[in-house]
Amino acid sequence: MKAKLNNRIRVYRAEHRLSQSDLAERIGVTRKTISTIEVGRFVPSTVIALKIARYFGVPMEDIFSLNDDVDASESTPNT
Amino acid sequence: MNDRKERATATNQSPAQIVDRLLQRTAIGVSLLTISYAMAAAMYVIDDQGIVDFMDRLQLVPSILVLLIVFPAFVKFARLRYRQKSECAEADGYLVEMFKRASAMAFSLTFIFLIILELVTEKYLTDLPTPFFINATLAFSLSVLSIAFFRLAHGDGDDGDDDEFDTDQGA
Repeated sequence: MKAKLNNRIRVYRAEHRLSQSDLAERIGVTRKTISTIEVGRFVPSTVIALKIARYFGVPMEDIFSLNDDVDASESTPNT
Repeated sequence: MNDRKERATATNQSPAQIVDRLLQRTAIGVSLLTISYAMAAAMYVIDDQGIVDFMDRLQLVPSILVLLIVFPAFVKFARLRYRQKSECAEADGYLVEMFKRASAMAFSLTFIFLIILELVTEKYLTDLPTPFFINATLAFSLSVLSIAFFRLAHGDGDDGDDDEFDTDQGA
């Protein structure tokens, strides 16, 4: 099953009163990159995801999460 | 104040913007080269010598346009790479990813095109010279690359508007 990556970038941007262009400039990407990540069209690289999380000062899991309907057995290791 | 900010960003492009611009211009250049290679291939199947001579001269136009469009962006990119090596290496934005996807698609479809061409040329098109097939294959490959890139890069056009949350940040 293909998991969908959810993100809360827009929420964090609103909290920090940042436009897409401002955030893009601060983490070294273009506005298009930020906007396509926000709408879920582009899955960012680990480097970009970490830069966004570091900029907002939160763990990456607070911003990015996998969709809830993913089969739990896929992510749970056998004990 | 907004005018000053916009003017500053227009002149001082970020490394990511320079990389994106180079990719966009490369894609435009590739689509122009498609025309050039397609004309080169067509010259082998057109009998009228006048048209062939005209196309031979016309082929220069896309080549000159490619130089004019791609070269300035490439110079900017090369200067950036010289100044900020680390930032360039990390350029893994949306357009870079789309260019990679378009390249993979172009490779796959060119491979299929060559297999079909091999089957077809066993019975048909046997009198055409090798340069025709080389030019036709290059034209096909480059056209797939440019079309795929523009489709992927622009998609459905819904990449969201920029939200202006930045009211009095400095205050």
